[in-house]
Amino acid sequence: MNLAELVLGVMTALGGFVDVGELVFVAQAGAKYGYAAVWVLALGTIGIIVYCEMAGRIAAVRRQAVFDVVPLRLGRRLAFLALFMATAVNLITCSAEIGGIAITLRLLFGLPLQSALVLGTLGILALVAILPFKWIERTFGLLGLCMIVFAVATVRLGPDWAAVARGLIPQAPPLAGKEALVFAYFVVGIFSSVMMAYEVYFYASGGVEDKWQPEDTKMNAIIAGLGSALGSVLAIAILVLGHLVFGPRAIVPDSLDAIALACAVPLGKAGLAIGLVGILFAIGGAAAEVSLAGAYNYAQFFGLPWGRAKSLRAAPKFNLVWAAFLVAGMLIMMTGVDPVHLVEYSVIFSAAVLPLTYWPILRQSSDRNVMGEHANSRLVSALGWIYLVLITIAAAAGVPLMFLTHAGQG
Amino acid sequence: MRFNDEPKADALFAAFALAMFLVVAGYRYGWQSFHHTIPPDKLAIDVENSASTAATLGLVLDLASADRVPEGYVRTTFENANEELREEWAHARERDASGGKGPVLAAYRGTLAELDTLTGGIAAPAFERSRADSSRPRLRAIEGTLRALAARP
Repeated sequence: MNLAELVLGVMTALGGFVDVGELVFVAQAGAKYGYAAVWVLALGTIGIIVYCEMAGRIAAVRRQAVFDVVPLRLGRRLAFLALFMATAVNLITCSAEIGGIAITLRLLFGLPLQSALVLGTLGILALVAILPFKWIERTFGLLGLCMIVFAVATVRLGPDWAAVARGLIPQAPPLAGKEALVFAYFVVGIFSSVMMAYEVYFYASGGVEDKWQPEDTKMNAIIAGLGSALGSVLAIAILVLGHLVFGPRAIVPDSLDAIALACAVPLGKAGLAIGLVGILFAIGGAAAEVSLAGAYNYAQFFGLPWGRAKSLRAAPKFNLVWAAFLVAGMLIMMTGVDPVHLVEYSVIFSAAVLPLTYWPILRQSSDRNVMGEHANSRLVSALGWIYLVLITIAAAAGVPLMFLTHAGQG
Repeated sequence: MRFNDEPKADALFAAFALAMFLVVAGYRYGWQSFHHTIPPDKLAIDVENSASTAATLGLVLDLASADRVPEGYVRTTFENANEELREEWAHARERDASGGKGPVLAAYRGTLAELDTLTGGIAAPAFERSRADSSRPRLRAIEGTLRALAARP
């Protein structure tokens, strides 16, 4: 892989880092708690780097994606449970992303919501059907770079950078009782929204699609590390904007139209338009990724032919399943369900499923008999185990916190 | 069951997709409303959410007056808010039917109805009104009332 491809890979990962889950949780956390949750973003980012790097390395060395590995390590029955739960979460996430696309199209062009839903879904279907795998990632990732306008808006508003940096130290605001539980809910929500597993299913399957070789493991580490780290800077910018724009006005930015307004305050109409285009492609990319991730998981588990490079005839089930995800997501949104509610469910339930797919990847990537010289280093192993503990805590705490706090409302 | 059995897997997946759809649709038409009305402390949350909506509308109008958001955006934001408030309004009525919280509920209902009317009236000629600056003081008053209500025990 040459330098241009590497830079393109990092930029694509950066543009695709933020999705509707992060937007919802991060902007609200900024408005409610100032910079007190910045450290959670950093913690989640290291976690997704570790998970992606391990899964990508397995893809390069063994040509195995996540649901090739899960049945080997969990046995087929438990792996089937993992597939079942992962599919449920993927479908909810896909619906929420499609809802986000429709809302953004409505804000950009004033379309009626139902028409925006149909148009948005058809657009994603067409792009995924027509574009080769590499260009699906790149089209959405590079156009998603318009999200950088959120960082520009943050710089224009001139936050107290020292206070932002202090937010990197793990902390909790002085709250008691239910308010403390709401903060805990946001901690779990932000951590889980950064560590959404569909990104890893897609990333590792993409490595197999792109025919990565063992010598590509360094490039895998750079893309996973640098792309996610830069993406998390963008997420921190959204949190800071949440604090500066919405905090003083006591607004809880729980809708995409409110979140996009944050760009209009310092940058006016142009900032708002660029921000909306960035949101559209970032969320569109997430919809494409999660629908493909659902199809990858299904085909890998049942040993069916898969891959975007394969024709409809060569991989009929795989192609049918990703298209079905998008159509089912659109139909779910047409019932009128609020996409923000759905996002919260998808993020919290994703956390509950995460240990079932993280653990097999950790085991496989640590196994010297399987990975040889490419097995986990001591540092990666140590981080891997630490994050297994953190993920398990988030999995156990997420659902109870969601019900105790009325999904973070108090 | 055998997990490498393709027809069974297909049937299972189709059933699963249907079940998921029914669960989400059920959530939309049943559980969501149930979840919304049952907790006794939910009124404060509803009131706080409505105050946040009023404050968001105020911000949109401020930006529109400074020519920092386009007309279409103002209209869409108000239409979205109006839809949200209609839902809140329906919940307030449900609560009213089940006993509610007396004077707090009545005040909330009145304020919400006014906000609902305000956004409904604004949705069409949003931009002109925001320029005329006639609706912001009312929005601020409504937001203040809602926040005062949310703070009541």
